[in-house]
Amino acid sequence: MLSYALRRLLGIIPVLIVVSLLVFAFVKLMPGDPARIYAGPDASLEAVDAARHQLGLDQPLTIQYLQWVGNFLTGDLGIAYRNRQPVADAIGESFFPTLWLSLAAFAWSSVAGIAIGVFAARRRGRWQDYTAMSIAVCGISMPSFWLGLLLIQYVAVPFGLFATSGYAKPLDIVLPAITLGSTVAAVMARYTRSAYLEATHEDYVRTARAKGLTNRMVVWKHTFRNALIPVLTMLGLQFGFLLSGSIVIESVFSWPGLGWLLIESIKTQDQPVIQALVMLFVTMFLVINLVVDLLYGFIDPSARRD
Amino acid sequence: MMIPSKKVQRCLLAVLFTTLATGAHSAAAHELRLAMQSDITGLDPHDTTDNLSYSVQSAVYERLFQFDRQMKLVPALATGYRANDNATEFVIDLRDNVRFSDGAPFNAAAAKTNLDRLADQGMGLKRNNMFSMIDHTEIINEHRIKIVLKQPFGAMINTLAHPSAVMISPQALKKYSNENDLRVHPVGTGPFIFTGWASGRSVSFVKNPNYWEKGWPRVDKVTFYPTPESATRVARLRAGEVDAVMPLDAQLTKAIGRDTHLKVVHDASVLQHYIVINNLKPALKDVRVRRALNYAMDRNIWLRAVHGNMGTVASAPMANAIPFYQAQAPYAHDPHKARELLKEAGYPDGLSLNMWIANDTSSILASQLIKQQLAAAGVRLQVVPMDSATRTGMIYNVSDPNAARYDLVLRGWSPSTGDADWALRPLFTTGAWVPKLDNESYYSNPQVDDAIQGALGSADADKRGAQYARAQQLIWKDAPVIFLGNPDNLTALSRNLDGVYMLPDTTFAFNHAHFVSDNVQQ
Repeated sequence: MLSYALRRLLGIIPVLIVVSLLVFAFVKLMPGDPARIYAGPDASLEAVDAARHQLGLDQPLTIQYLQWVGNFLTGDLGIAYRNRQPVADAIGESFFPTLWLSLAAFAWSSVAGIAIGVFAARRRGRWQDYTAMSIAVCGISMPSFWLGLLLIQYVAVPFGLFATSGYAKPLDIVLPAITLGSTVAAVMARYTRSAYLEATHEDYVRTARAKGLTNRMVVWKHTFRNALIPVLTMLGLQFGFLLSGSIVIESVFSWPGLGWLLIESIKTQDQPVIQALVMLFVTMFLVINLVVDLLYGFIDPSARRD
Repeated sequence: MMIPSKKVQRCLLAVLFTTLATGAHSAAAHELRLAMQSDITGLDPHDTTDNLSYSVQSAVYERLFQFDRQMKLVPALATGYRANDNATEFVIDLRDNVRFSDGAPFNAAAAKTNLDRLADQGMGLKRNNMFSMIDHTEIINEHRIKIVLKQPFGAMINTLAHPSAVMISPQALKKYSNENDLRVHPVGTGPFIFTGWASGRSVSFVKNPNYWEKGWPRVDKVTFYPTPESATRVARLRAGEVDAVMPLDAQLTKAIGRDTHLKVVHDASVLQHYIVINNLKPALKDVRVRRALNYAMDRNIWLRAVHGNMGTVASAPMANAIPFYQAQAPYAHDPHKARELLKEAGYPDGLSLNMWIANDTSSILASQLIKQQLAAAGVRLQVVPMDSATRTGMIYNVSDPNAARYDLVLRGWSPSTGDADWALRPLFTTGAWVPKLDNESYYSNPQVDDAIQGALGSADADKRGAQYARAQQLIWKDAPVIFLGNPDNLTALSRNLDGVYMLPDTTFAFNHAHFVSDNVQQ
């Protein structure tokens, strides 16, 4: 198990190297001139050139890349063009708002999604199933920014219990978390339902019934536990999306997290911040996938063997 | 509507009780909270280029001269000035009895330190370029300073009124000699004192108890909240979380109008909306085609559909609030005449053009209208939306002007010095072709260049006025752009808040903010 974990961990390194090249190339391929944006709207040509030199953008791309990677490895993520704040500080400040929001959204949506999925699967073909799945389809199809604006307009503004945006008190996380989690809950409900239905057709379920186990044992120990394996993979992926993908929700709710930071940085072509953020998102995905793979071992003993 | 009105009643009761408790005439503690569309970029105006940051910085920092609500030049930390005839020397009288909030006196030495910092091209500050005409400064006495220029520059006082030309405490400049420290430790003479900036969350200030202007400020605290989504900004205001939002989208004015606790404030703007015409494209070289495009546009419909009918349509190459503005014969909406002109120029079947726009709601709305109107005159428009960073890059990173790929670009220009020079020179002179300045039309008319340059060579208003009149006339006739107009700046406030508004240059003012509790009606 330990050697497996170590091997997987080492496997991340080449992926990160390739990703760093891609990220760097994409950022450099973006049309636009960060030096001009840095120097300002009515800066002279000389001022733009001075900015280009100051930012090191006049150096060959290979040198720029190697410098970036070298600094990155020593923990120096550079200075943001937009406000001259160290990138590490900017990301550090934005990380926790996003983490809390993602955890809150993840907590309610995974529990609700799995519960609804199992419920619908056990009443397959009946009106409860159709109702639950119709709601889930609505949840997937509804643009989340629209749900966010509706919640602000009809919950936050008239009742005053939750803030319309930002966070001043703990309750303020409720509306953005509902908005952010709605899609995940819907996806999980549909996914759990089909995974559960698939498991019910397996031989071991039939065997469990044949040997006279109680319905409860069959449902929870045999069917649900086996259905959980694909569900867990999906959950991991969804959490990755929550951490990196709340850009729209963070804008709607003025939530000062990573999504907000990414948008501000793209608007001003703040290359050091964009590069660091994308690297962070990729690393988070890789780590989450690794954690999910290791969790398989606990649910499915056969996965522990290799 | 029950809940908010109860809230107001409670506020009134609270005000009443505090008044009773602390004596009849003392004011209640008031905090001014504003929602704005993005975060600031820093707090050193000398190293800032965006109007939103300038506005927030004005809590702490003041300039020698500034603009009033009508963009008229008014003295601030200066009390007056004298210039020599050829506009190379300016003697400025400074206000007496002003101190920075750290106790340092504001005097000629402090002004010199700041002007020298702005003029020093080796400082690497984003605004140094704007003050490159300053040769040196001299202290005449404790409250009088002389600025000597390298060449005549008639717009000098307006340049000193630019929001970047502020006076920073010399003590703070010494203490925070590193720019990265200074930009988060602002110390000025302004009505408020900086207390903190939490990136993406808020910027806050408290009242400066020793402010020089008697009776001000009348709020105890000011806090700015970045709120990027315009509908959320309005929701915050309606929920009572903030007292003002700026700017307000014209599309959202109706939502405000329905709420009796709020009001919309609109002010004239000098931000000129126009459509760049690439004068180097074969078809667009012909002045008849460019005039045809101007006749094809119905500016009144544009103002109504996109900007809630608040503002003015273009009647000159610059806004009417700019000094030396002169109204020209309007390009009245006439699609028939436009077709005739196109036919005359050799395009009986019309022509196809592309137009680059920003991908924001109001630009997209405007582009739909423009496309429809030009179509009526036989011009087929292909609209290309892109984000502003991409657009700036693609327009400015062109080494050969003939290689520029756009026919038309929808954009705006706000002359932040409030002067005719900065309204005309960057857009219409040959020396200002992109990437040098902002002449994206690649328009060139030597007579226009002469007139604009000639006006700079004098500090005499009559002489400057005559030159600018000539320049405007020539530009209007040549139609190097499609002139659109100046939509008003919109803000929304709580009904009981006064003294918060947007200046014509799109910065906002709040130094005279005050709550008028008596005016609250149920």
